Amino acid sequence: MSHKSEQPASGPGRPIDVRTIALALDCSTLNRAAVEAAVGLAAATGAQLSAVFIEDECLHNLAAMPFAREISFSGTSSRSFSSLQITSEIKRSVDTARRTIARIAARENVECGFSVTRGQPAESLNLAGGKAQILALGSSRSRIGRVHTVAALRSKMAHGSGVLVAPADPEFEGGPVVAILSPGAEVGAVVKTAERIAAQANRRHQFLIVSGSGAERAALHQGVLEAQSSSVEIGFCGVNQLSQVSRAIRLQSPGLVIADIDYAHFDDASSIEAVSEAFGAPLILVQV
Amino acid sequence: MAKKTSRPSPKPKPVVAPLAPAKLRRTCDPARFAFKSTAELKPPKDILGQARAIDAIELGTGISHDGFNLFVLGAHGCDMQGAVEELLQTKARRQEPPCDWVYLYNFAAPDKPKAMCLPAGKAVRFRAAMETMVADIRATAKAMFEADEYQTRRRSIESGVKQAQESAFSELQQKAQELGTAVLHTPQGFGVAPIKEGEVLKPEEFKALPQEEKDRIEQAIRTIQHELEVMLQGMPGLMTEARRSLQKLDLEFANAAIAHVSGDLEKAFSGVEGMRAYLDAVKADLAENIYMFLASPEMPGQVEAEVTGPVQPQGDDPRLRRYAVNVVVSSDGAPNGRAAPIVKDERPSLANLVGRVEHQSQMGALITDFTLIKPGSLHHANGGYLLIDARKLLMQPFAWDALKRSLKTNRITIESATEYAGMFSPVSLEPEPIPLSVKVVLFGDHMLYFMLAAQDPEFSEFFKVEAEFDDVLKRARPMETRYAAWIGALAACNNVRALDPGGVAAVIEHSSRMADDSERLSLRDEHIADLLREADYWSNKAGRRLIGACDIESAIDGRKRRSDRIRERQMEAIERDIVSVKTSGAVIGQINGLSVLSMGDIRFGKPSRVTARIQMGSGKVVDIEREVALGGALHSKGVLILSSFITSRYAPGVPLSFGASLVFEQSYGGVDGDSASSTELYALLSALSELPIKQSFAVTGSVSQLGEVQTIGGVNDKIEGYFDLCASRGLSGEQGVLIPHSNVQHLMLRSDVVEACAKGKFHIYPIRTIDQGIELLTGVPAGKRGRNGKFPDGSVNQKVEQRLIGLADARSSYGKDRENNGNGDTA
Repeated sequence: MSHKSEQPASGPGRPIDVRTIALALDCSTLNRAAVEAAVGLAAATGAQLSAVFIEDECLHNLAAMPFAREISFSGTSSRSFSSLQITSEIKRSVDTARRTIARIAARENVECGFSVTRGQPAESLNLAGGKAQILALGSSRSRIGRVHTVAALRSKMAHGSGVLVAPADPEFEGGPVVAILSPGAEVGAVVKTAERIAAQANRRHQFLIVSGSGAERAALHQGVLEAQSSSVEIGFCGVNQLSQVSRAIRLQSPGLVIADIDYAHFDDASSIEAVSEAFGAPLILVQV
Repeated sequence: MAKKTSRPSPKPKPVVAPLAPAKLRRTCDPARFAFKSTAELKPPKDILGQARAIDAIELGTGISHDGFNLFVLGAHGCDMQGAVEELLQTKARRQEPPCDWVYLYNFAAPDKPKAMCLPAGKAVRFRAAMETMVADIRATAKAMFEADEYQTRRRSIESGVKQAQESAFSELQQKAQELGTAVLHTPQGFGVAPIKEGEVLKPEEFKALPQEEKDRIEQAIRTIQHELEVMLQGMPGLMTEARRSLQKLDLEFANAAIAHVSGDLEKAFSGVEGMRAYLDAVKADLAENIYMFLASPEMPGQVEAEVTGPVQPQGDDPRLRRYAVNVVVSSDGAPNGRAAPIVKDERPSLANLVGRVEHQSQMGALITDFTLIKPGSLHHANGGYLLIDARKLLMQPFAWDALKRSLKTNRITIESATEYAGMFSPVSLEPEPIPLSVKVVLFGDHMLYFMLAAQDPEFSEFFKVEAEFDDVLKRARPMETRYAAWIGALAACNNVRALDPGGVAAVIEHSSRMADDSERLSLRDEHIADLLREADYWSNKAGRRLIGACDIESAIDGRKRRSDRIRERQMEAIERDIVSVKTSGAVIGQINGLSVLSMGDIRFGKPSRVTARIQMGSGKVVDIEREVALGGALHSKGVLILSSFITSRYAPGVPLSFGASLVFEQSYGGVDGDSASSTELYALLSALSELPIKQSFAVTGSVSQLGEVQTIGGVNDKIEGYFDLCASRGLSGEQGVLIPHSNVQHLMLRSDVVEACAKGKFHIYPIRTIDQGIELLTGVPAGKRGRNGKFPDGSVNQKVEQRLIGLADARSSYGKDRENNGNGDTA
């Protein structure tokens, strides 16, 4: 993902021009929906897709400890593990991820590079993102609470980039692209980004204006009309709570949701995976 | 001197005078009828001539106790079924229609469908209401489950689980951090690692730590590992609780959706017994399976598209079939309308009677469900009347048994023939038996009735009422008018022309002929109806507006002509002397007998030659027909009777020393009945007395041991059979037929026969005794035994007795001669 320090092709207030998508993976459960979303986005936009498997350095460190134990997901069994074992398990995860991604990419006629890197997840994620405009989080539980909170992302994302995350079981396959607009958002950039992605993916696009204030709503509405090159559906949600917004979003049966990272209703502490689950659809948080 | 011409000696007056023409056929004078056409006549109010049967039917249908079903019997040709139906219609209209019956899915035991009784006419409405309810539930359930409230609460539960999991995990992470550790994801689970300044310690960094610190870290790791294990083991519990909460939520909304749509149905059918329990079961099942309405059958879990078209019947979705209603009996649209049902079962097989469970083939297996239960005639007739032809019923395997069982248990139990026979049958259903209250009316002939009564001990238990239809009615003048009205009604009912008085008179005369009795009229309405139909044809051909006497005659003649081939062949054989029957001259020991040949609808009189031969013997009269098994029991009885007559009348005290043989010459088809016993006796007397019998006569009549000539059947056909033979050879004026006097009342001879008799060309003699007959046949007085115990000289009886004594003497001498010759003595 592009760092704040770097200046991508699209600047502040400009729509994101998706040319590269990085798909970040680790040895936690592969999020197939996220992989599908990333591959689909690559197919639609013609962007280059590359998958990066991040071997968690910490696991190797832990495996070298004498007291290293692995507790099963069910919690009913535990076993000691060694570096050899962890290496072997990670290798298996890598192979599984590589095969799955290759199958999905081949189906969509998308070329996908695959590389493996070792390091600390947070830094590795940055490295994996590289100059990609979109960083897709392809694993379900990568270091919960550390990297993927809204606040953490906001501080790390450069302008003109976005993070793609998907729920485990998206509900509205093939639905329209829905962009959330709220006071403070870069309306034009978000509108254009949404319009561009929808056009490339051959889908409808809609907007949801979230604001409790009539004046703000009107302003946002005007902004949409000015930025939008064709007629479009616009929905309104007057209640400023994530649960209400989620309901409003779901009514649109979205196939993809685009929101400004500065969307006020995101709780800094909330994980973006949880937000994506709430919407029932893959979510691209953009920093425009 | 003029010669005196001698007058021919007058013929001796016959001992029996021939019958006057008026006695030979009882005519009906059309002039006595006041109407011009039967269309003017009102049909008879009640069924003509069947008072006994009507009373029986009234009783049988009026008694509600078990076992008082009816067996209606009568001769072939009587429209008993039509008459009974007419009677029952009147009764049925006064009765309330029975309740409707439906079969429903049994949620507790699906292989035992439940039966439910609904008020008459409501079953179809109930079915429609259930279909509507299920369709409405589909729409309502979708709406409720897609509504914000449900979705929010569902997501709240789902997210609650996730939040709980994440919260637990976060807490653990925090605690781990406080203890200087961190929980990491591994490929197959979790690990706990020591951290420093937010980063996992490298192995060499750990090694460099003081032992105390290492111990502390290891302890901390163990603590966190333990807590992690506990937390992970508790996750399934959270999931289970969440699942239960979701199920509870689904049930709550499902019940709400169901309650929303079921209220009207519950109100509409609240008074029906068992309905509340059934609907409760339906609602519980619907709530449990509400997901059926939220997904299509092909892709479970996928939300179904909106139903915008017409409501699909439950049968199209196999999952919804259990909510269907199988209406087996409904008075809605019943042929009898709002009255008790009257059902005729024309093919009373087991399945048609008690119903059946059908099966469908699916992937090579036979499957069934309660919607494939089909009713039988007992179901349709329940609460009313069931009419069955007894012969047809008995010909169907297991049907008679099933009917009796149903009547005994007062229930209709559906069983297949394979189950009855104990054979393997596919997995099937046991539908709940339905209570039965029906009046069964069986129809049959006398033989069938008496056979059932004798052979089946249960028969009289279930069919206590015998309703016997008469096939004849007394012909009196007032009755002829009512009969005319009956004929008119029959014509109208069969869509034929009305009759004029001449036509009616012709029918009446023919009716007496059908009854073989001038004092009776036939009640075989089917035969009369056929006659009217044929007469209508002739009337139409002639362009007449009404059926007249000539049309009736044409119909009768036409029918006779159609079935006359065999009679003509028989007659031809006699005319060509292939079969020898004399109609003139006189022969000792030979006489013309008369029989009736009956084959289906064909019936005609046939003259045949009967001969008798005498020889010395021990008093036995040999019936040659019986000896070669061509004689039936009744014929043999007749021969024994005439033997007894001879032995008792002649030469008492003299041992019987004659042997006789009797035969029907050139008869190869079997003989039965005793109507020729007098004929055979005459032949025997002729042979014994050596007096020839006039071959111009034919004789019929049975004889008693006392020499009385007794009534026989088919007198008209017999006379006409001999008449036709004589007429074909030319009537000499000497020919005639001797009949029992008691048969005079039965005479309904053809007009040509009557005419010939009127002209003196043919004669019918009524005979009471053998003596009368033998005198007529031989022309010699029979003779009466005098006070001296002897018959007059030259009389027939005297000659017979003399012959018998002679034979006894000859036999006695023969015996002595043999003895003497044996001992060497000379005679």
